[in-house]
Amino acid sequence: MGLMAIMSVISTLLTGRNSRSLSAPAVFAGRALYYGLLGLAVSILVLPIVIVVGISLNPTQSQAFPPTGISLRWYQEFIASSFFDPFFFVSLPIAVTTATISTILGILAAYVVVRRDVPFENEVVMYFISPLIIPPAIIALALMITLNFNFLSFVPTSAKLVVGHVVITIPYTFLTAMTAIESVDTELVEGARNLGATKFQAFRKITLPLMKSGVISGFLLAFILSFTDSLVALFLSSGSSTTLPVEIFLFLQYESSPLVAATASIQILLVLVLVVLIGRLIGFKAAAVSS
Amino acid sequence: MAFVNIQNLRKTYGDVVAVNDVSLDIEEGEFVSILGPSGSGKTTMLKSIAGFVDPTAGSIVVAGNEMIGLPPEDRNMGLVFQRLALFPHMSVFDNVAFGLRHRENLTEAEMEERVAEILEIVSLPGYEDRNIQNLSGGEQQRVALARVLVLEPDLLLYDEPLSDLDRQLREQMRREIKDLHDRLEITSIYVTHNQREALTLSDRVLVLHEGEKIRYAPPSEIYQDPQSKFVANFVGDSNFVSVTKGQNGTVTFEDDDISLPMHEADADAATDLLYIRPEDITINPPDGERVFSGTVRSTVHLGSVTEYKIEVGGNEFLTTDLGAPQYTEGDSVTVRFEDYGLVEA
Ligand SMILES: Nc1ncnc2c1ncn2[C@@H]1O[C@H](COP(=O)(O)OP(=O)(O)OP(=O)(O)O)[C@@H](O)[C@H]1O
Ligand SMILES: [Mg+2]
Repeated sequence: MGLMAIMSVISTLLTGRNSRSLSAPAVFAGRALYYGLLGLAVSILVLPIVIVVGISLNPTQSQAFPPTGISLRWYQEFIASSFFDPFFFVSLPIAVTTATISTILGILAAYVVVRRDVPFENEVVMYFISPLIIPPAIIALALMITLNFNFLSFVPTSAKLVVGHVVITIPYTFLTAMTAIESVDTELVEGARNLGATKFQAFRKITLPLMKSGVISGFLLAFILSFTDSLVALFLSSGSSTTLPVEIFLFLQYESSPLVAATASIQILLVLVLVVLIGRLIGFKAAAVSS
Repeated sequence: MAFVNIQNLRKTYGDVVAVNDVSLDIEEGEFVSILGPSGSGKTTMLKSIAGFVDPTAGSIVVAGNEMIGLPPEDRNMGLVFQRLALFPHMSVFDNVAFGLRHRENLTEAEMEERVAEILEIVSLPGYEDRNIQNLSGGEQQRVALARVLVLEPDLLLYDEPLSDLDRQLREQMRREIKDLHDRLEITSIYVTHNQREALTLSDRVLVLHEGEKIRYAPPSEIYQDPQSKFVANFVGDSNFVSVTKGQNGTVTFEDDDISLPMHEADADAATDLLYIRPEDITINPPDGERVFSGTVRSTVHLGSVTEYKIEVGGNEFLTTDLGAPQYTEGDSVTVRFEDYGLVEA
């Protein structure tokens, strides 16, 4: 009870709601605190990006911020560097494959859990989100032990990486798909079937289009998680199938130069472009409207 | 066999009996309402017919074919939902053409023609490219109708389609549904808890109460001879008085010396509950038989009518009178019971 009261006072102070009961200076202080915290939160998110991009523009080996000058030297170096191949020929294809497989599996599992009467529903949900609960290092270790069994030696490393990444991303695609399917009124599906559509046709023409925004967010989350994962990749990578984060990790052990910042900037740009593009093409909101 | 033949339909959810052994015959072209209070099993019955609820027992035969076991998409029925269930991500055209795409093999041109035709019928000509979300409530209602009518279903099923509309629109749509039925003569089942809709639309009304069939008869019969207290109260308002049956064909109010001649039809009814409809009580009638004195207890002006509560003897009676209030609380009046009957308690 005491805790609740304190919380409510704090929230009153922070948001300035119920401000009728507070004096003017208190309201001002509350507002200032609120916007202060908001500003802090935004800067924590934005500042690292600004700094990384800033460093990448340095003309010399120095990783100074603000940069000592403006040049695209490190972006040119990136193309010839040992980062280029892992970026475009390992990490990117793995991330796209992972996101696709994880999204499809997530939708299928979520559909069964939400729309069918299956036994042990709660247990199934727990199973799918368990990778969120288990420490990542343990998952990585377990995957390494399992996937490196001798009889699996014919499986290429990149495929093993995809398997590992699907495991760590499935909670996200599953949960977003679950929420998305739940948001589609079952009567719409009944309406479609009443008009002659089979179960599958109703899913494809009604449920799927209406859960589009959930599918896309799940896909994006999985893509970004896979693209930026270093832990699972560190355990599973080998030889030519080294992912970008692992390559950066190894690089940083012996050297330091704005090359890493430039690579990171390109990564950020890629994700940004992807998000904006998908937002433009399909629209996050458009599919969320319900009747 | 009747066009629709439902035999001992039963649906239980654990301990809840949603529909309890209901049997029903519907003739081709008939308009039947299922009337009952909330939770009486109306939707469960309708969705069993449409194929979205698996009945626990019973059979549903439509046009000679057993429906139980057939998936919903293979039953040629049109279902109009309470919340309409229009597809929000599709245009009016795509909503209406949805069924044609799945049920019939038409060219794009034929489809356009059929859609245009049906939109004409529901008074939405030229609405093909409109967005579902930008339509008014009444327009959405019409699209929902067009979407099922375009398939020329064997059976039309309505689940309280008008309950979300405002009063004026509800009246208008009710008339339009009636017109459509008169023109197209598609056998229809209409679920509602609104007795006015049930009485004005239907050829026959099925009254459900806690999953059981209470009554299945034409509206006029149900209204004039409700037979049970539940129906008398649910289909129109009623005043109820406990009576004792006397010799020489009269009933006497319990605790009162008010006696009324009994109707012949009620002569051998094994009950002692009398119902009197509010509109069957006249206030201050010119002198005559069956006139009793009473006191006005309350007056409520409802626009075109006024509702009075009048105490006669030891009982209070609800009655309505046309026009503005003419009596106020405490006034002494006389009343005459014009019509009444006995019902099962
Ligand atoms: N899926 C279900 N699981 C459990 N009980 C159910 C289910 N569907 C309906 N019921 C129960 O069956 C009974 C009848 O429900 P039904 O929806 O058919 O009533 P209704 O007459 O349509 O009511 P309303 O006028 O409120 O729509 C209710 O007691 C309801 O709680
Ligand atoms: Mg219902």
